Amino acid sequence: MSPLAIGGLAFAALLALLAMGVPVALAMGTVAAVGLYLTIGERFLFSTFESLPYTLGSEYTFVVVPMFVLMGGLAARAGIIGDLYTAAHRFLERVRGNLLMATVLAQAAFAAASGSTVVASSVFTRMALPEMQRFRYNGGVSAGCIAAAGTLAGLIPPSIAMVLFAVLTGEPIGALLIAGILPGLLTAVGYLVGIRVMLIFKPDWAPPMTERYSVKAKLQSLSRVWSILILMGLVMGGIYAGWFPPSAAGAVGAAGALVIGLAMRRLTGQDIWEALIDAAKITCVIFLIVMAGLLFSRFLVISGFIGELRSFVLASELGIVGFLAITVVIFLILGMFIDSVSLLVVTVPFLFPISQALGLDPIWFGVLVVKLIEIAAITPPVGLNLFAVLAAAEGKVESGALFKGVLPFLAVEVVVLGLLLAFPGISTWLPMTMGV
Amino acid sequence: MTLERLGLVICAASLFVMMAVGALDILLDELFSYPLAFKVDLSSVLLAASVFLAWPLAQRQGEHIKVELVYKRLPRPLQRFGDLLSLLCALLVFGLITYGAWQMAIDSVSIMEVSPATLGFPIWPAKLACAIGVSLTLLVVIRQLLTPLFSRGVKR
Repeated sequence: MSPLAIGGLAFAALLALLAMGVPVALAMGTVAAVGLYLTIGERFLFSTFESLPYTLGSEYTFVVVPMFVLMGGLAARAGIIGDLYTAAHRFLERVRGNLLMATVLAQAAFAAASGSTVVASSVFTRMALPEMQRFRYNGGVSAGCIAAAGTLAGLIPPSIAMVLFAVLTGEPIGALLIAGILPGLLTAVGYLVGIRVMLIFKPDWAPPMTERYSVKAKLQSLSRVWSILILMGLVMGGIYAGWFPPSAAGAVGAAGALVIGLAMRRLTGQDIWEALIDAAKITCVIFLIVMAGLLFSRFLVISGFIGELRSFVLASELGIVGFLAITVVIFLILGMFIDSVSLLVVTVPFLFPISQALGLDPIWFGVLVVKLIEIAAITPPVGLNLFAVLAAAEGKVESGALFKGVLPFLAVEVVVLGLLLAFPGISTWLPMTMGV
Repeated sequence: MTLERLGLVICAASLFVMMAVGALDILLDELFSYPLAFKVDLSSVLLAASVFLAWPLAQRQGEHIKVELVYKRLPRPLQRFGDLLSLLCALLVFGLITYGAWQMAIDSVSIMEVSPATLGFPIWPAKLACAIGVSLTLLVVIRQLLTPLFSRGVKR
C-alpha cells in the first residue's frame, strides 16, 4: 500500500471514530498506535509510549499552558471582566451600539489576561446579554457579538492556541505570542467598524441609550481596572522585551492576578482552589490531545505519508496561493464540525511541513492557522464559542437567531483574514523587533 | 480521602508551587541577580505529575473533548456502540501509556534518578507519580467498562 493510501486510510479511520463520539485525543491516539504497530512494529510502538508521554509532560515550555489558564481563571473569578465591561460601557455611553462595542473592547482587554476563548464568552453572556436585552438590542446580534469577540483571546497573548502551535511545530513560543498582538487588535478594530457600519443599515438592532454617567463615575470605573491592565502590560511587555521567557511570564501573570485579586478582597480560598483544579483539568485534557497529535504526526512521518504528500504538492505546482486557498477551505469545512484545539492538532502535523517546503514564514503561517481556527469557533453549526454562548444564555437566545446574528462578524473575519493573507507584515513585523 | 482526591490535591499544590517558584525566580533574578537554579527541573517534574494525576478525574467526569454533531444524531444502539468504542480506545491508549510509565518509573526508582542539569535534584518521585496517575486512569476506564455488565441484573 502506498504511503498516501495509508495516510488516507488513517484519516478515514480517525473521522469514523470521531463520528462515533470517541474523544478526539483517544481517537488520534488509537489510530496512531495501530498505525505505528502495523507500519513499524511493536518494539517502536512500546518505546514511543515509554518516552513520549513523560518527555512531553515534563517539557518546561508546556508550563505556560496551566499558568495562562490559571491567570485567566483567577482574573475571571476576581470579577475583572465585569470591571472592564463597566469601564468600556461608561466611556462609550454616547455612541450608538455602545453595549456591543463595550463587549468588543472589554473582551479585547480580557483577552490579554486569558488564553481561553470559551471562558470569556461564557462570562460575558451572563453579564452583557441581559444588559443588551434590557435596552432591546437584537438578541441574535448581541449573542453573535459576544461569541465573536471571545475569539480575540485566541490571538491576543496569552493565547493557548499559539502555545499549542509552538509545541506542535517547535517554533518559538514568545515570537508566536507576540505575533498575535497586531492581528488581534486589527480584528477588534474590524469588529468596531463592522458594528458601526451594520447599525447604519439596521439602526433598530441597537436602539440609542438614555443612561448617562458623570465624569466621576467614569473615572471610578477606571480605578478598578488599572492594576490588571498594568499586569497585562507587564506580561506582554516582558515577553516582547525578552525580560523573561513565556513560561515565566505565565507564572508572573498568574501570581499577579492572585495578588491583585487578594488585594481587592475578591478572591476566597474556594475561588483559588477552583481555579487551580480547573487549570489542572484543562491542562491534562489539552496535554492528552497534544500528545496524541504528536503520536499521530510521528505515525504520518514514519509511514511516509508526509514525505509523499509534500512531494505531491510540490510536483503539482500548486504554489503558495493554491496551498493557502486549500488550507482555508480545509479549516472552514472541518471547523464546522471539530473544535478549535482538536482542529489544530489534527491539521498542523500535515499542513505545517508542506508550508515549510513551500517556504512560508512559520510565524505568519501560525497566525493564519490560529486565525482560521478562531473563525471556525464561530462558524455555525459547530462553533465552540457559539455553544458556549448558547449554554450560558440559558434560553435567552435561540440557536437560529445566534447563527444569523454572528454572520456580520464572520463577514468582518473574512476581511481581516484577507488582510492577514495580503500583508504578512501584520503578523511578522512585531516579532522581528523583539528583544532577545 | 480517596486516591483520586489525593491526586487532585497534589495537582493543585503542584500548580501553586509552579506559579510561586516561577514568579519568585523572576523577582530574585531582577532584584538580586539570583535566579533559582532548580526552577526548570522543579517546574518540569511538577507539571508532569500534575498532568498525569489529573487524568483519573478527567476520565471519570468525561472531560475529554468530543465531536458531538454526528454522535447526537445517531440512533441509541449506535450511540451505545460509540460509548463502548470510546472506552476500548481509552483502554488501549491509557494501557500503553501505563506500560510505558511503569517501565520508566521502575528504571528511575531503581537508581534513585536525579536531574543531570541540577545536581542532586530528585526526579524519580515525579516519574512514580506519573505511573500511579495513569494507572488510576486505567482503573477508572476498566471500571467504566465493567459497570454496565454488573448493573445489568439490577432491578429498576
